[in-house]
Amino acid sequence: MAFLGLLMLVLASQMPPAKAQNASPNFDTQPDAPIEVAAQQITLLELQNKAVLTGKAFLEQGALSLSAQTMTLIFNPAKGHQAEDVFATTDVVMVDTKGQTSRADQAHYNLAKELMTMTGNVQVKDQQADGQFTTLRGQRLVINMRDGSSQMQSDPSTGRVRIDLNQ
Amino acid sequence: MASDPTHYTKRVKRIRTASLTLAALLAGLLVLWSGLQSGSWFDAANPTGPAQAELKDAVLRGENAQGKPYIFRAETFRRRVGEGEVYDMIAPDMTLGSPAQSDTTRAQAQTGTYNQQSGLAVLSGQAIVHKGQDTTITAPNMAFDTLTGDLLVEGPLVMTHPTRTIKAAGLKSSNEQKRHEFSDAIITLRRQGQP
Repeated sequence: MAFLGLLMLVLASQMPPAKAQNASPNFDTQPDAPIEVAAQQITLLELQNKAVLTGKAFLEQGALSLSAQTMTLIFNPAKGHQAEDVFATTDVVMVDTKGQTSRADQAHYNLAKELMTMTGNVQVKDQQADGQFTTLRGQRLVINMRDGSSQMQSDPSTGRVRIDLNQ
Repeated sequence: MASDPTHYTKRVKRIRTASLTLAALLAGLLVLWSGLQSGSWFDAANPTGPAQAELKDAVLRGENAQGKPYIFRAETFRRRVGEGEVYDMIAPDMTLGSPAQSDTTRAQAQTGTYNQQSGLAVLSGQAIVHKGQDTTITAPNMAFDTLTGDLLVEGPLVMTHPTRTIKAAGLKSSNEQKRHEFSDAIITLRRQGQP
């Protein structure tokens, strides 16, 4: 019996360790870098304190880029009409310099709180050092743009965050 | 001492001449005053050419359709022969709205054309428009509607504001609705105090 226990211990020590799966990926962010937004058409509506970007809308801040079909910038008249929020909808894709690609139905970048929130069918695809791809799926991803940390929240119907591994 | 009848006749003639001169002067002032009350008028330091076709250091004042006052200045306003109220301008400087108001629009350029009938000014040679107190638009060429304050730019332009810079390939701007439509545009956002 003692021999059997010892054998199991030896076999277990020979097995490769289980791969650590990060359900809260880190992003390469530069919150102090200037923000540039571009689109085929930008309509600045001064009376509504907003700008609507349509046609290949694109946001770039340092290492990070965000693209979507439509974006809306919200300006705060109490702070010299400084931009405070960016809302992106339809085909939202965010890419950082590490090549980590995130997709979602919508995104909201709160510039004042330095938080990026992606919602609706969120997927974060990342390539590991060994060439393996991992795809993290959930319904809501909140990224702290100050330190790049994030938190994926689950689909309320299933209560699960899913990770897919692909060679 | 008897009065000289010849001397009396001369005095009457002098009084008549003075009265006619005064009447003519008053009539002139009346015409000028009526001009001030409606429409616009030119002041010019050195009107030259036939029928004041070219006006130096000219100032055009008036009110637009919305009752907004405007003042247009130029080193030269040259009226085009046979084209009605169309002027070629050198160094135009056009202000729409009272300088005391916050929504004043001021347009300057190296040269321009102004159609007094339509109110449309086409500005060229590094045209600059200041809208309100903190927005500036620069472009090689632009059309400025002096009646409405609307702008049309069909070429590269830059709009600067303390918290953003917009570079675009074109702009259609409605002054009344405060709506600006940019094509192929890039906005660089700045935080307050950021260079």
